[in-house]
Amino acid sequence: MKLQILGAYQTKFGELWDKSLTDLISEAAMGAIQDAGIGIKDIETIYVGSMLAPAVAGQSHLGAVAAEILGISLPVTVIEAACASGGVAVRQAALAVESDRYKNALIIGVEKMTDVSSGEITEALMGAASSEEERRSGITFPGLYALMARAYLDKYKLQAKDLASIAVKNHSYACLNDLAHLPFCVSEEDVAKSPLVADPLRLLDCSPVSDGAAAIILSTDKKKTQGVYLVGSGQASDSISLTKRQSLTQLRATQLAVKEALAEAKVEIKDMDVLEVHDCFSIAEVLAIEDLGLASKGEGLVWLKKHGGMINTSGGLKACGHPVGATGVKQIVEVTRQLRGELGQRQVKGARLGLTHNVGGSGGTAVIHVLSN
Amino acid sequence: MYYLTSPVRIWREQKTDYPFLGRVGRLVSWTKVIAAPVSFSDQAPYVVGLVDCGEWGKKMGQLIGVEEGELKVGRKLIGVWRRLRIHGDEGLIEYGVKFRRL
Repeated sequence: MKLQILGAYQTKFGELWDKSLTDLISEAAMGAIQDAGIGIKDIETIYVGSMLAPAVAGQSHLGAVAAEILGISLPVTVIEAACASGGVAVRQAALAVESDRYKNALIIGVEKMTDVSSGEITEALMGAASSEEERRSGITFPGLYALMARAYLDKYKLQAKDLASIAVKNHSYACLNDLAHLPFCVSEEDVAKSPLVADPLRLLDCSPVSDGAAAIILSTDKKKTQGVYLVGSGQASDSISLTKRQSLTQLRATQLAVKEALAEAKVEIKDMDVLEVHDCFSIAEVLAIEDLGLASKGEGLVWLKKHGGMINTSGGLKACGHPVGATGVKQIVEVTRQLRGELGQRQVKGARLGLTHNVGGSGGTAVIHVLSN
Repeated sequence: MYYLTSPVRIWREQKTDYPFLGRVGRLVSWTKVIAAPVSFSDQAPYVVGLVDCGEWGKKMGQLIGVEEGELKVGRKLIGVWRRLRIHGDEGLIEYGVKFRRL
């Protein structure tokens, strides 16, 4: 059965104080439905990915929120997997449509994060880490990835400033993306001069706190096509806490998930033309390149210097922004547009195969999708 | 604000730290947290380490009495009982394990 991405839409990511959760859900959902050229009545099920709505907006039960907005009664499932909420929502929807129970599924990823202070959102985000093993130490998410960064830099005899090229690259793409949260270029010097957040990670090593939403339509409707298909999907987990991990310098969940996705798609990682990987922090992009099998351990930065142009053409989480639950769906939107050839100056010429990589927390969940045109 | 806390929860979670009291471990990695969560904001900046306590497993905890120049992989540390934070307007005090230089 061919599972196609019939509609794709992303809202602006940023500090969107004039937009509520319902505004964002509405814009993304209607954007994807219109892009697909179908009507609301053609949607048979909805999946919503979000992490922080209960904590930050005081809003649980997002399924009923989405149904109310669209004015329909149908099965709606809410998925929470921290920063992988959107990616896992896409996968669950794909499994449902592949079962032939539904023909058209709407998947929405959404997050409101900027209504509260930096300290408050830092506290809320720690729900994605271990409450017993990690939160009580005062560690933060930048702190968890800083622990991993220090271990990586120490193991491979690198320095913190070597990570700066990640931000430079991703910001250079964000400059070309009018939906990005931070559409400005930065230099390695800018990164080095930005304030420390959790040593050795600096402000410009870290993705921003963003509001935003994205939505796609997955469909098996043979009468309509936009020519982009979901051909592989994989998901895996690891311990929520770094204290139980076998290694600080690789994510086993990514390694297992990509194996499953590539096997289903019957392709190899080297066949990919464009990838959206989970660069919540600069070190995360380096680990992603290695765990996906694009580079050997310790060689991620060298690989990126040669091939980085195919990675995170949206600007990544770093510069496009990271509304947590929306990111996994936005990655699918970006790769879909690449495979449709729609992205102008950000277009990777002749892109035929794409991959999205979405991670929850510090690696407790990883979900991978392979797309083809 | 982000999760409901209570004396019961604090009492129960503190017990997870008891096995690490007096345990000697080695430093695996560390970071200095500058931008802290709101419940730790009065303590920032502070150093958090991941400490390998051998058969007792790894533990994440703040490092105290360790100068920055003394931080290195393999540094021996010992678990000690310290105040972690004070919760909310009622001032519930949470204690737990931090690590100091051996």
